Amino acid sequence: MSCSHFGMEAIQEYGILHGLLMASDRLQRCNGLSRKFYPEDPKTTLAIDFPLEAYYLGRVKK
Amino acid sequence: MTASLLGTFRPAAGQEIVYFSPENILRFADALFQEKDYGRAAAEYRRYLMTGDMPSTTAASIYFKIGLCYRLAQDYPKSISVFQTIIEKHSQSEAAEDSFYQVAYNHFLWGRYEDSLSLVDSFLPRIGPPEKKLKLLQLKGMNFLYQKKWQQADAYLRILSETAVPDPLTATMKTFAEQGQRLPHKSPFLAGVLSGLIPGMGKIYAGRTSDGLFSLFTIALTGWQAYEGFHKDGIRSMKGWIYGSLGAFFYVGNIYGSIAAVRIFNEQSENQLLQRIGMTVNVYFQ
Repeated sequence: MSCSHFGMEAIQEYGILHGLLMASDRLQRCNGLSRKFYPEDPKTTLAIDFPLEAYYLGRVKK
Repeated sequence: MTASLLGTFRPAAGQEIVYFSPENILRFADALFQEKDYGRAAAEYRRYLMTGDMPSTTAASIYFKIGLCYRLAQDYPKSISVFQTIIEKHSQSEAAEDSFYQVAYNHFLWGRYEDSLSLVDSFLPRIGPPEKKLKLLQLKGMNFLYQKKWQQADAYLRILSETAVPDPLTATMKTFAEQGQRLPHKSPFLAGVLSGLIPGMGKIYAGRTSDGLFSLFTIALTGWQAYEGFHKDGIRSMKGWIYGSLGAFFYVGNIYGSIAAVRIFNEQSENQLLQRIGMTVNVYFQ
């Protein structure tokens, strides 16, 4: 998922406040240095990030 | 598959095959079960049940197979309802005793650990044979492990290994509970504070050094540009406001991301252990 997609989905899913914070963090992860943490999508060559839900701090820890 | 299913019906020379005789329906259902075609196997077992009156124990064993089919097809609500039918209607059969375990096990597989725990506790007094009791008690331990209640699991399994018949499975589960307690745990609060003091430090603490350094660089750069703008043109500096807002956006986002990264780190290490538990221990639970 690209940074912009992540940001859009985060705002749609979790509202403007959480969404913007998540988008800001995602933009800072959008660099070539940390590719080792994420598997690569062979089709788009974009890093496969964790699910959006994983970054949402409002969720109840299971 | 077809050949093996056809092989189920082997008539004697000169005899006509009666495909829908009760015996052949049962053989067909068993063959489907062997082939892991659980949905159709369950339907055939049900058809067999309708072929005529049969002793309660036979009916219970067929219902038991139907319950297993649903469980293996991951249709847990249906499976639970079948095993409960056995408990209610065929309470004297041997299948009823095994059904207690199956009901609790289905809840466990369904992820309803609390329900599974309370069912184990309510079923235990109704179980006779010690080996079946032990199986239920071990399932209780598994529920604690899968709830990531490592300390509780460890204490429980210690008591179990001391009081029940010594069993290698209990010992293995206890080892996992001990490992769970020793898992590296990082504090989300500390990550947030660190990132607040020095941007990126929370990420470095979470083990994501490159992300942390990148954040530090980004926030420092935007901060510097904002400072330069305000220093040159005062409070009305457009450059200062743009870079200042951008810097603040990244600064707050970094704190948020650091907390999330630590949380993800903790969950990942717990999930990796759970995966190992699943691979090692789940084969014993059927």
